[in-house]
Amino acid sequence: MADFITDDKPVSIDDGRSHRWENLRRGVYRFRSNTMSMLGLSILVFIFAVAILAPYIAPYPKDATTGVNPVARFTEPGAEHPFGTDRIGRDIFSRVLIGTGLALKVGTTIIVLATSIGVTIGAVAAYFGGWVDELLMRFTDIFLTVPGLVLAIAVTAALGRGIDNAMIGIALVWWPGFARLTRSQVISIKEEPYVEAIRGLGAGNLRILFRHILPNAISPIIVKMTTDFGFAVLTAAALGFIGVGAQPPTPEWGAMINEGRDYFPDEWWIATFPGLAIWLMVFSWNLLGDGLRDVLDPRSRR
Amino acid sequence: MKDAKSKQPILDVKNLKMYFPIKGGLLNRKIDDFKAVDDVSFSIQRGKTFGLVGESGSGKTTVGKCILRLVEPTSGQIIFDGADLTRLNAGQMRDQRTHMQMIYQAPAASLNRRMTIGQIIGEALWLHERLNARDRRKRVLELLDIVGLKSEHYYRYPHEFSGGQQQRVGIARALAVQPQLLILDEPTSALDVSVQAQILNLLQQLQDEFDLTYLFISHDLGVVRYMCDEIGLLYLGKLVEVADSETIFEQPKHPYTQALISAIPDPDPDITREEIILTGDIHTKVSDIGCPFAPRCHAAKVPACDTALPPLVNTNENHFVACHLHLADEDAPQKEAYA
Amino acid sequence: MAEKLLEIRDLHLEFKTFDGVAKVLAGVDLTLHRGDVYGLVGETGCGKSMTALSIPRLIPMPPGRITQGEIIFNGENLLEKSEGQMERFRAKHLGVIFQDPVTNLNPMFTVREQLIDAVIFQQHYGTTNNALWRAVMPSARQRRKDALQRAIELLDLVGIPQAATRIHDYPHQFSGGMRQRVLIAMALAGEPDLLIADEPTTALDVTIQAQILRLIKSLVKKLGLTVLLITHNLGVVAKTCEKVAVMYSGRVIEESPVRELFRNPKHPYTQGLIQAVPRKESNRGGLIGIPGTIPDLNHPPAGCRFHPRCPHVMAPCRTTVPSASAMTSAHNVYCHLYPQMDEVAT
Repeated sequence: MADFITDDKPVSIDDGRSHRWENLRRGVYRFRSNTMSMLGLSILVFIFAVAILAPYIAPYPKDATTGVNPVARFTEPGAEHPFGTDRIGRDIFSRVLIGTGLALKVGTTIIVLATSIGVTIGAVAAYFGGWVDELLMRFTDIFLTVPGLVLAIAVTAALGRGIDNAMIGIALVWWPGFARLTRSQVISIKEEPYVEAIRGLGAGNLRILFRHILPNAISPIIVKMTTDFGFAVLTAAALGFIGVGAQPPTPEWGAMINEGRDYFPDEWWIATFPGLAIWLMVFSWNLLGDGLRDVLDPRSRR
Repeated sequence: MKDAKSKQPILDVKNLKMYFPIKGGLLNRKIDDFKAVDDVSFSIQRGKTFGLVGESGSGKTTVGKCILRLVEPTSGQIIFDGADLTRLNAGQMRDQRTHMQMIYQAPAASLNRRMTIGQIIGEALWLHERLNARDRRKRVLELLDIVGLKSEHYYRYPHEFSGGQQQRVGIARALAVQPQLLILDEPTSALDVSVQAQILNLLQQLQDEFDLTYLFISHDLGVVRYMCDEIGLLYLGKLVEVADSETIFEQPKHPYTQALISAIPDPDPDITREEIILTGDIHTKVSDIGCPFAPRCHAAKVPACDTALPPLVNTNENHFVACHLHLADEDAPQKEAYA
Repeated sequence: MAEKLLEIRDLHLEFKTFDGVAKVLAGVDLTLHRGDVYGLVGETGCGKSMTALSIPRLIPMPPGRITQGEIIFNGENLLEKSEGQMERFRAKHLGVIFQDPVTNLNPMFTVREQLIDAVIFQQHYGTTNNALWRAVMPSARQRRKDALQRAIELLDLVGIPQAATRIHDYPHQFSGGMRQRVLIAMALAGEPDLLIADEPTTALDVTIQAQILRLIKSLVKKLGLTVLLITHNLGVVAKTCEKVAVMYSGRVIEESPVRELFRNPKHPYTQGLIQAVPRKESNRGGLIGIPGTIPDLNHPPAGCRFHPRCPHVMAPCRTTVPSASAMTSAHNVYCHLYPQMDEVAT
């Protein structure tokens, strides 16, 4: 089954790659003509660059972990400390920069976990239908009836505080959305004549589901992964904020806001800069998601 | 030898019924049946074309899907090449299915738009004979040639083709598994006339070349007349008339057939046929016991029309009609039921 | 001869797409006289619908753009009207019906509500002076009451049985043929001069198609309508129309009285089209299609756009757009096989 697609060496016929390239070019054209999504992409490129370079460009890399500098505590933003310092004198600029990588890691883990669980359950439920569908979807509903954040807090608290458990907890409340989306996609696609045709040729369920249905269902899932990314980071920050997520001294933005809470509004910079970082993250992923929707939506495709 | 073989029909559909439950009420229990296909019987000889004609909602596509068992018929037999398909289990059916292939009405929707033409046809070959990549490519190129496409189309995607070309791809994919029977579900109704003519001619060529049998499902009587040897007319899931093509058009007996033929807009303003305009449509309320066509019928009615279901009987030399008028006035000694 | 109602002269329409500029219409000429039932036939992409929708200016601009030509209706050039004037004009003079009777009715409202709105809107705009309208129609309530009366009359006119009761139903309670009748009623609400019917029977079964065509013909007689019927079906034209224009790739290539066209088609494309329809005398394998496919509108062939598929192609076909050749007074063909009235170079 695997050898089916990989062995396409052109014999003497016109090169297939040019046609794939053409399709890609159309997508890029449509994406680029949308200013807002280009803005989102640019911010994200910047965010990724910051995440990679943070250890080298942060002025006080030690402050992200064990550093303490009581002399400089509560310094206002200035040349020395662009974002100021907190109550034990740590440089907030360095902590926000280094926290970027952590935020991306948190977002990626949550989305990848949630997507794997959600897509599998949704696709299986939709494809096989009947009691399988009923069972899996009622199971999904259980997760949907409890408010997401509350459930995530409960799961994380049960597993033990910490950023790793928070990611698991959030992923466990995040997947039902993907399951529902995948299910609705697969249900409509499995009725298409081309699926019927491939079944008529004697293809098995796995091949039909994974080679013929899911690739055509994937676009809205990718869009949802993108838009959800920012919100996953936001949720992780919320857990950090109320103290069940990342624990001090981890430079997690939500935990940092929590630390700055007591000193607001007089020492406003402690909570404000991590907050702006979260906002920028959510904002840019949303813009990108909207742009991808325009590119990937089959209805706008020629 | 050839005669003996041609006597045995390749496909014999007997008393096929397909009922869909209508659910309702407080507990969503079954309250009634929607009879999409109701007691349909017909057979097709090898190498021939049988036309199944009806308006939308007549159940003609459902018959095709039942034969492929893409939907499970409620009851009846489907005997293909001597074997009753309704008794096969899923695995046996999967082997049988490749002997019968379907060509769809919407050519674009019947192709996976994320695969190239080479992959689409190649996959059929891989599924059927587990051919290796080289042989597969060779066969795909042969098949493209057979259906009138070019080798440079191999790496193209479906959306780069016109409707007629997409339909050719669909035909090539069906031929890849060397079927004996093709179920053609309105294969040209989405195409322009000039392209339709190309596809119809291609289908006839292929039939001669590969000794194919066709079940041709269509609402277009002009096309059916051109393509089919024998024709069955469906109305609300029931066959109302079956005869060879010539007879259906020259001496239609059922009032519905007559109305349908008179309604074909002929591209010749000089043909002045008596026009029968039916009232109502296929959804016009039907009584449970009478003839399903009675509420729209333009012919003189007899009392039985509203009280009894007319059986499909042989009125003359394999001309089967389900109409009380022809039941009453024919004096043929025995009214054998069809099939 | 009856008075000229509509004249389209040298209409050019372009669409901007990712692949460049599609020349959808490249010089369409069309003349309708009052009382005509005029057929516009052609295959997918020939521009027949685009021509028809150019008249009420229902083509989205951009991406569409009319680069040349005029559309003269009763002596006025529609392309020079403002958007507001055009809206009034549409309400007063034009009725349009489309192929799909399902999506053109709002499923959330009853037929009564939609039809009353159509009546009020079209009559309101039909009276150019708003103040006058208010004076004549004292109250909104009275207005709706009168409109309901008119709506029922309209449904009755299009042959919906028990119109006074059926008018309270929702669109889904009507079958496809009945919905198309409702849409015809809506189009007729403003007593238009011209009814544009874009593939009105394509989505319907043949027996229903016959009913609708008969209805259109009876309306022409009863109301003195002029009809522009767009279709791909030559049979529908033969059955319904008196005059016909055949389009191919953005141009009219032949126009003629219907009987004359079918008896004596002159353009090779028209001949091919008529031959391609399966009919009684076609023998097995004897159906003749037209080889090749329709041209890419972004890069149309020079000269006659049919020349790459034409069995009679000659040197001038590849370079020069053929102008009209008159066969009889009403039968024009645009083809180099026949003596050209004037030479136009591209």
